Amino acid sequence: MVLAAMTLLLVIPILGALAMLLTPKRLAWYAAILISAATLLQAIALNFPATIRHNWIPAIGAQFLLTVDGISYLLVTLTALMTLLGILASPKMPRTFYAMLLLLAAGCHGVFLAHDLLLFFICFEAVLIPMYFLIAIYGAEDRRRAAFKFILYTVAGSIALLIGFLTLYVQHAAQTGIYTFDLTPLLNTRLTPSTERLVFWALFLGFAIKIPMFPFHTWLPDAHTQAPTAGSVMLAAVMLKMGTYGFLRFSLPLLPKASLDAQILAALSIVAILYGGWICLAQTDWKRLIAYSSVSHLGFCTLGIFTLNSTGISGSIIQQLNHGISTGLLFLLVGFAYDRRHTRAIKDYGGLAKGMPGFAAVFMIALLSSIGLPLLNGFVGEFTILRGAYLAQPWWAATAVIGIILAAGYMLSLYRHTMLGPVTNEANAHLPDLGFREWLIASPLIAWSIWIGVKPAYYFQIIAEPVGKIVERLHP
Amino acid sequence: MVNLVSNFWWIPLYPFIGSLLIAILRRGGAVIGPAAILAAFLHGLVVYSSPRGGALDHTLYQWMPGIAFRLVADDLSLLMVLIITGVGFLIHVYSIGYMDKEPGFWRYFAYLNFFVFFMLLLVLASNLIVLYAGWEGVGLASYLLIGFHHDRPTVNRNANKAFLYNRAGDAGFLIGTLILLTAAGTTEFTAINQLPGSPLMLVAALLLALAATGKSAQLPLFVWLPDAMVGPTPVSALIHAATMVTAGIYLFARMAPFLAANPDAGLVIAVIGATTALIAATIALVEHDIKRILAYSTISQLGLMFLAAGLGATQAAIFHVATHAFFKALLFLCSGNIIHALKGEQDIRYMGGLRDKMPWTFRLMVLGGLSLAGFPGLAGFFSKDAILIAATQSPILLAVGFLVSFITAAYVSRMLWAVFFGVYNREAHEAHGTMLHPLWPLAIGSAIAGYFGPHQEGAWPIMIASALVSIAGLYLGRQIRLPELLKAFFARKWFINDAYEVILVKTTASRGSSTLNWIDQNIIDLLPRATAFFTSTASLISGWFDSSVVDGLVKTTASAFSVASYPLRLAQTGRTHNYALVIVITVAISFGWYWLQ
Amino acid sequence: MSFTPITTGHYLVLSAALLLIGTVGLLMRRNVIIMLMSIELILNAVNINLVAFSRHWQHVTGQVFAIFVITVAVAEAAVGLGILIALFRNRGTVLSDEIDLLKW
Repeated sequence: MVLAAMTLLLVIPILGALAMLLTPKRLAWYAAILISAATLLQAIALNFPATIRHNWIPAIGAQFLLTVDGISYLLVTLTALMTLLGILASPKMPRTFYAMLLLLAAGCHGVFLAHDLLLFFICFEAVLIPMYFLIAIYGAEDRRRAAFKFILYTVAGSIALLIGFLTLYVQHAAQTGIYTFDLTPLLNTRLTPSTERLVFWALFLGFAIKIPMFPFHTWLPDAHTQAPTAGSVMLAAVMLKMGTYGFLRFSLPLLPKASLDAQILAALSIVAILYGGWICLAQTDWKRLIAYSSVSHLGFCTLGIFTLNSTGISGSIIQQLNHGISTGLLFLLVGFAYDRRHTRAIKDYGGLAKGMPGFAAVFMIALLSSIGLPLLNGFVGEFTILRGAYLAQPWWAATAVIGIILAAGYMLSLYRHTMLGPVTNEANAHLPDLGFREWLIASPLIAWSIWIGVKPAYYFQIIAEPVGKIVERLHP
Repeated sequence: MVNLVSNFWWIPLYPFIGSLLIAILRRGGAVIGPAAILAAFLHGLVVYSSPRGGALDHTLYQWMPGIAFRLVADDLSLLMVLIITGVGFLIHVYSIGYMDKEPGFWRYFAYLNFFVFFMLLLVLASNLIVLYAGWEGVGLASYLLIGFHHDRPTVNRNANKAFLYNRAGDAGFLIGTLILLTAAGTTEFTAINQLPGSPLMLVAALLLALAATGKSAQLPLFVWLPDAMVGPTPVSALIHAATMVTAGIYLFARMAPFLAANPDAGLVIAVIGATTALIAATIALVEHDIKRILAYSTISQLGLMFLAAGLGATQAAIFHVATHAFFKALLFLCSGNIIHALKGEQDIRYMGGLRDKMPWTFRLMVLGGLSLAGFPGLAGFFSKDAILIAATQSPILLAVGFLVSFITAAYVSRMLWAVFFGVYNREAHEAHGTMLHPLWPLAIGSAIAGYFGPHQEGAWPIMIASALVSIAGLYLGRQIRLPELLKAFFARKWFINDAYEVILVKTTASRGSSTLNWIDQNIIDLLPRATAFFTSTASLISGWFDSSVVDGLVKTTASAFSVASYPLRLAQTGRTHNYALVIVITVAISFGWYWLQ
Repeated sequence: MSFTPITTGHYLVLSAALLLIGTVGLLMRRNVIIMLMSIELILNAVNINLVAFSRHWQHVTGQVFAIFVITVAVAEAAVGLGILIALFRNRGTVLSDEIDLLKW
């Protein structure tokens, strides 16, 4: 039986994870690299748009239904790349670690490809388990509590998500007599305004906690600081996008009128931008700072979504990709620093640029990408989002733009305290600069940042049609 | 033969490739750096002097939806190109000597070329977004160069300060751009300059003006420039005198028709310029650090340029940009020579009598200073007059302009006297080679550039008045004794920087974010914590219920049996004859009952 | 002097008396040997009863049954004594009051 490309994206990592347990310890890292590289190649080679449909549970109308369009393609490629880079960044780990990462990748692929609500939900939940183990077993000093908080908080939101999905499911069956979880027929469900609002806010809770949107973000700093490097990378680069993807794929198309009423969510996004940025200035833990910066960046992404116009939504998708690249790179860099000094406290660093100029240069590029310097990827996403925001409500753009000042503020402050200045701690004086493996990890992300920054036309083009479809449903 | 004119868009590429080459090779900065700039200059010269038939433009590609990566070359942009690459080339050459034996030599030249690339992009941009790319890019290069000696702590703080104040302006730039993009459907200058005025357009103009105040160090965003002097002196000369800080004025010049359509914006810009010019001039009068004197002088002169641009006298403004580039760069490089000769001394109170030790630097610096002061006949005189003539529209602004001229001459005189005259007690050697010869073209420019500028008619009254003011200022500058209170006020920079430090840094950034952090961990986190507390309490209650009530039922049932069986247990005495008794009684009873039946 | 002739009734009374004595002895005596003797007494009382009625009904069944009872009594006495000896060897006492391990 020839498995279709999309299914392979799920199967290869899962089988790989199982194979991990049979691999001898010495070869585990290499095997994991091979498996994730194969997944990445498969992801890049995906033809889209495409659909795969298999019967799964006919009794309740659930199908194994995967679709890929421009949006899914970008996110799946990002996932596969980040998995590979995360594995490359974690040599000498136990086999179970790589198995967990691969399972995580499979789950994420499932989330971004699923077109069946039940399948989506299962994958949405399924990723929590490997992530929990990654944090709880391989994390830092307070890992148990952080993992616990992460999983309980996220699952609580998912309950609301499930309720929303089931309400939709039941309503559809009440209207047409067909019980199905397939997204396409569910799009035609007619809901009363109150039901639509109920379902919207139920789904909102599930996605908002995942993103995380203010004020549901308090699980994120702990989860990020306690997670191992590869875990943080996957969490930031990929898992946070599941929430925004959920909004784009499900909330907006299924519940257009309720989405149109949700102006408050744009305001909430702006709060996240400013709050996340401002609070970064007080952080003393390197990873915690980047975690809060993620809250701020994803504020931009959600703002883009809730402009409800094609400019804002396209900008949001591109910025989600950008955030994955730049924040993923930042977490990888923290990981490199942590490998050398085993501390996340900013005050333990200082003057690293002198001994590690390569590291300093890569950090600077990641920083500039993150704060939206033109000709790098961050600017393309941020500017398009601001454009969309201005089109929706000029005041949204006017307030959100303050975020770029804050971003420069905390990022340059971080850079100054860790990389610049005199070497205050003797331990920082003779650290090795980036090695071959580390350059290998950083290079694709740098290259991709520059590509998207200078020539984003391809990216705008491949998401144009799916975004158009979403906007069409919002403003018929 | 390659058509250099239509391929004008190569001009920014020379420094870009130069920067990349130096960065990859990590050497050859001394050769590649200046060579790239020279190539750009020559190419620019060819294009400038060739018949063009209007503006040239070239679209590289569609950058973002509706935004093209497009460059345009007209008289304005080409003039800027020549200034940037001309002065830039001289400063690159100067740097070879100044930065000699510095670690990170290649890095310096890579950054410097990188800067020129972005500056050229800025002036050749045909729309606001490409300009913004150059705008932010020069901000980045400025940050990298100010922070060049990044192992010194204060340096990094000042580099951050420069970037952040610029960024604040950039936020305004983006919103202004968005307003214009929505109004005109495009960010191309040609389209924007045709937009009619309206209140919304006024807002956009003011936002762009805010950005310009950031880049050109005017109120309210000027406090970064004096602190930027911690960078190497050639950097101060190039970026913070001749080129980057003129970007704001360039923007006004580029959008002159738009500003004309919204005259209130121009008024605001003019007032900002005049005010800043005055404040900065007074501070320069009491400063002791030679570079900071020149920095405040730059701010002041930029204020005059703002004044001109705001009043619609674009030509005058650009004229002054050009002359200022010459004499300010000359002044900075001369000061660089002095600092280099005195092994890092920058305080003019510890200088003196260098006239004999450094004769050429003395003559060059005096020339530059006189030009700055507007000594009649020199370049600065003519360009400043052009501004004053434009200011005749408003008596107040004119008066401020004259006052600024007077104070300018005064601080120039004060500085020159303190540095070159009096008793010397330091060892100093004259500059030579690459640190001297690039100064000649600058000197020539400071002297005669004025004759190439736009001609004014009926300017005689102003010219005479400004000549008198200039000479008076130069003469009196040495003797001015300010009241102590005023002196202290100026020395504390009118408390503006202090105000920013308290409001922005200590309160908003530091306390504000710490408070927010506390709120996040203790108040916002209450949401999950309260839920967790509620859940665990509920589970405790449920647990209690389960073990006491539900299980109690089971236990009660069990104990009922146990209790009931107790009396029955008593029958098992273990004694045989008790059992025998029971048997006998049972038999007796059953017989008796049977018998009674 | 005229004596009443000995009727069946006299035998029955004797049997009952013996039964009663035996029962009371069984119930009231502590010494297990005495209890065993009392049991013998009860069984012999039954024998007398059976023989009396055999004579009364002129039927031999009663006497045959009495032989059975004697046999059973002997077997039971043997077993009882065997238990008694085992009991004495383990517990050192023949008093039933002190043999109450099966007490609750």
